[in-house]
Amino acid sequence: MKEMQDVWEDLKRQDLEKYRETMEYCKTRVTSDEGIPAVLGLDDLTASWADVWQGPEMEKEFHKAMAAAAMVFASLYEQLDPEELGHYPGIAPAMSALAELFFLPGENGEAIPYRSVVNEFLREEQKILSENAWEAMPNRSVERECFKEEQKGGE
Amino acid sequence: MENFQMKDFLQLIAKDKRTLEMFRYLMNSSYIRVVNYHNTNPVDAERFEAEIKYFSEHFVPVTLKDLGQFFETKVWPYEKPGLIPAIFEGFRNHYDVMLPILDKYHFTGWFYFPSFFMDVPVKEQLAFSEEHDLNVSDKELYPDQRVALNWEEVREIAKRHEICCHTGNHFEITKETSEEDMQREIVTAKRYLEEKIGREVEVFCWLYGEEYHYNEKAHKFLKEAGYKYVVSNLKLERIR
Repeated sequence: MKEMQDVWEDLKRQDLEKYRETMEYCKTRVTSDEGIPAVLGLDDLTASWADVWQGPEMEKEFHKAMAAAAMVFASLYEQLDPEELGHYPGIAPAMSALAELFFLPGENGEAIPYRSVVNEFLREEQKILSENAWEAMPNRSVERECFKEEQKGGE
Repeated sequence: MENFQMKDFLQLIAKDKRTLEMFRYLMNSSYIRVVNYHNTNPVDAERFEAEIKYFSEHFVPVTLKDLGQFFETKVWPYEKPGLIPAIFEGFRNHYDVMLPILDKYHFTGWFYFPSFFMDVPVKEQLAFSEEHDLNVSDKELYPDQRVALNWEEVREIAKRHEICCHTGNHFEITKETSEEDMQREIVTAKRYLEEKIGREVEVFCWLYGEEYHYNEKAHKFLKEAGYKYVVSNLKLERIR
């Protein structure tokens, strides 16, 4: 099991290039139209601050790597021009970048980024999903509404 | 890390206390993953479907009951991590595009609604959206110009998914917000949403990561309203 000391030692071995690449990628995301991953801290204001939580088995060690990575991202964002950060502290974009880079633990505990899993999966799915997704939508209120308008002769 | 200087690094991460708070949540496994969506336009439907299908294979959906159990026992009850697709703003395309995809894969979505958006007259909805920072990315999608969900659609979503309050008018609450505005945007917005869907709304979500403006005045209204959880862009807090 990794201890705190190991986490700090891990930090020294991090390849900052992948962090910087992720930060650059995050700037290009269209938040209004894309799924944007995030990680939210859970804070129980009704219980003791010192409670120990137990996460999913799959992430037994991964969460410590995430903790270290969040600090690396935060330190990089804190070095940016304050105008670039706006009124947010570095940790705010850092948590979003963390979620992007550490979306899922791989079989060997490595971090799998959100964009790579989704893009790869999408490529696979596109081979299978031959029918246009919009046509397959059972609700399709656009057409329903337009049909009603036509029936009424338009308004 | 090249030229790693522990002292410089520690100074950077100690600049804001929230940085170390987040470190503590991650080290303590007290966190949850979300993927935030706003517009769910038909043009992106194929990508959304691939994403939700992927989530359904690699994560477990999270209901309020699951979250409540996690808070209560401090033990995540599943082998796989949980993931919340968080769908913001109450746009009509959530019903048309996202809802059938979530239902198809039996994956629970959390829908964050500004409670009064649905009552804006249809012809005024685009103008209301612009005035209230509700970014409609495809204004031509609906010929009749209704861009907000109607209550019938909201009730349909509420049958299988979690409904959360995102203020009444997509309103930014700060320390300077008047008590009257807080009452309307935090308390009245919750009660109105509950009246319309016929069940309790337990989650409130700030705009623009407003935990930074979290203050006693807002807390008073959150408690009065009876929310159980408050969501910001860094935390999900259980307050009762």
